[in-house]
Amino acid sequence: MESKTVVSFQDAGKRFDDNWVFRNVNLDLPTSQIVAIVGESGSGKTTLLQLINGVQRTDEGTVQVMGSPVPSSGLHSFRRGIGYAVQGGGLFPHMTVYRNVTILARLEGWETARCRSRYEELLSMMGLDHGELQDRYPYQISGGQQHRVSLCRALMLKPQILLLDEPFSAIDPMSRGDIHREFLALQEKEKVSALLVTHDLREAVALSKYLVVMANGTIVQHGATEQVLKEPEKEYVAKLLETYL
Amino acid sequence: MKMLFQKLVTSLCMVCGFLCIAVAASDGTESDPVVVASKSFPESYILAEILSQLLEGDGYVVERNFGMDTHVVYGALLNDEVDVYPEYTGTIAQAILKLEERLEVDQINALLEELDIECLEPFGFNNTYAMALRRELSTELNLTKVSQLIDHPDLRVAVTHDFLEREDGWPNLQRIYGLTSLPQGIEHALALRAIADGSIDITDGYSTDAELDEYDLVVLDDDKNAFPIYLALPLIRSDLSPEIRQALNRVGSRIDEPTMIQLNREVAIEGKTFAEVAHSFLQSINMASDVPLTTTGRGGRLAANVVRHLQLTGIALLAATVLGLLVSLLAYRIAWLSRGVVYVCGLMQTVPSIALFALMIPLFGIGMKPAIVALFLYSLLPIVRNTVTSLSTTDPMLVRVSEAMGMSELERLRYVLVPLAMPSVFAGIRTSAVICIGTATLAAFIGAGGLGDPIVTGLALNDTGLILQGAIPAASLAIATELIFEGLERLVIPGHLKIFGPKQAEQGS
Repeated sequence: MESKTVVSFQDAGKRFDDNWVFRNVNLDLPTSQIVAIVGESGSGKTTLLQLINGVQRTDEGTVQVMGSPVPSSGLHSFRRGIGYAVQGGGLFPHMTVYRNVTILARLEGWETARCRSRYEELLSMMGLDHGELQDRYPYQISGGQQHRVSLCRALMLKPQILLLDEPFSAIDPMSRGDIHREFLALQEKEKVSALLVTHDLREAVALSKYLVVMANGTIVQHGATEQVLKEPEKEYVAKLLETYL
Repeated sequence: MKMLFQKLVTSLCMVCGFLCIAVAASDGTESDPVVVASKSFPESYILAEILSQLLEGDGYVVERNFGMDTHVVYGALLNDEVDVYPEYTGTIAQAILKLEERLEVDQINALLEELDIECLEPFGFNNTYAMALRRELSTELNLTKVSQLIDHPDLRVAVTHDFLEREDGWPNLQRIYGLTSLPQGIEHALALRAIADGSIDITDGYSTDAELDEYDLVVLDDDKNAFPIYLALPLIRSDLSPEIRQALNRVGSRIDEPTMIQLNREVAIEGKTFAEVAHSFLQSINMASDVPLTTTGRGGRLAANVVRHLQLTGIALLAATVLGLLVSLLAYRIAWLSRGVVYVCGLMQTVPSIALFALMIPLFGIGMKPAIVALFLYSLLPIVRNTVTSLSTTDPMLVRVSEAMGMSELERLRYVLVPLAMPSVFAGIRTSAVICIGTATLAAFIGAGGLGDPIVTGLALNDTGLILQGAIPAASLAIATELIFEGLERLVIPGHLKIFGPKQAEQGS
């Protein structure tokens, strides 16, 4: 099945003051899959992600999201179509689990019953006891649970795109396998296009169908994950594979 | 979240409601009362009280605004905020009109005409300054005249602050007698006590002071006639009605020096209230009203003072909270602006509170308005600093997440930044409230009343009991405010801090 493009970068460039984070990025990311963007710290992968939801703007070139350029006004309603989860979970400490997960839905005016049923569905899919957790505050649940809740929050409004900025990196290796499995199942069910930024190549390989390798502000190689693994085009990628796998 | 917001709004509404009721209750039904004022020494209180009771006897509604500094009360008369207060011819000529020559009442009135104020008939006594010392010191040094002071530059001189500054006071004495001593400033009532127990040697008194006799003090002869004549009289606004003038003139020439000394004595030595002394004097000259003396009981006075104190602090605090929060919400994102706002608010705090009150007089006159503005300015810093700091130091990760997940700026403020900042914001309001209640006791100096009133009067009379009547309720009010805010705090602090306290919450996250 030919994949359609969910996000497309055309000659995109971004700089902070006089330093270019990257230039001339041309990339078409396939829809309804998990795309992993790997690279060392400072390689520009988080900035790439932030261009998609308009937290950062390009200084040259364009970014198209589902066929349209990132809007310059009405950004917050545009962003509600794009789920977002970060390292550490980023849960609001003053809201209970239920409120954290449903905050956007309530802002969107969803009825209570609809909020509740979606909340329960998501938590169940992530292997969480929704009844037990609903009135707990983030500090009252474990780190692994916080990350799962964070994913549920990102998916609450059934977004077509999910941006994940190192969402699993703070989780201990023992639970990471579980959360990976749950996430894969969830993605499969929700058919969401997930863009995962990670510095962990093993995680990228375990989760993604499509892999983008970044280094020093350039895209070193991108393509179907299997393809990249089989035929590393550059020495950098080969070395990376050798080191991590 | 919504509940938290609703609770906050509800509690704010309750505070506003309470304040509105308090203000409404105070503005009551009084129709254009005659405002009688006094300066901050007992004789002035007594004379003002006599004038007040005369007017009340004739059925006028009187608003008493006692215990102000000469320039404050004079300024208030010019501004039409005071209708009448007892003044002295020498003070008018020298301290107010800055003239050196001695003037008769008619001459003074000619000069005052363009200011729309005038003197009524003098009460009938001259209360000039008197430089006083202990009898045994006078005998020991054979010191009986002011001119001899030049031979004793080592004597410890302490004079009232007013006397130290005014043209007809120490500067005049220095010029005429060539004195070189550098006197200290001291409260009048304290000075007499201090001279009696030997902590100072010489002070200025008034020739009608009862304490001169009581403490066995000798008055130095003003052998070069340096002190002007100070005929006491009611100084009024020229637009007062003929009926009111007539009422006030009824005590003209009815109080001679021995009478005034006796009235002062009844207050200072016998501990009677100003109202009692004024009433019994008016009775003695058959001018007391038939209405029995309606001295408000101690409880009534206390209640009135507390209500006024709450009005002053409540309105000032509410305004500071509303404006402080608004300014903080507008400024917190712009570093230089929020720094500037905090600096400006900090600047207000560096102005000594009494000076801040005084600075408001040229702008707002006397009474509640300038006091509220001064208290408002004084309350801003803790609120603005806490709010700006807590809003601008919110965990950047949470700010980024709320932005990226699609909250509008307003939603982010309402659902994330403000609830997280709430404990700190509330602590700021609480600090302001307590500062405000303490500082409001100074409002009495500019005629705003409140719990400072008994303190100011107590200072004038050196009466610790009276001072405590203001100080204890003020302190209790501050404690009560702390407790009320503690209760309110439970309503508005975010849930995660409510269950186990902030420490555990931080550790957990």
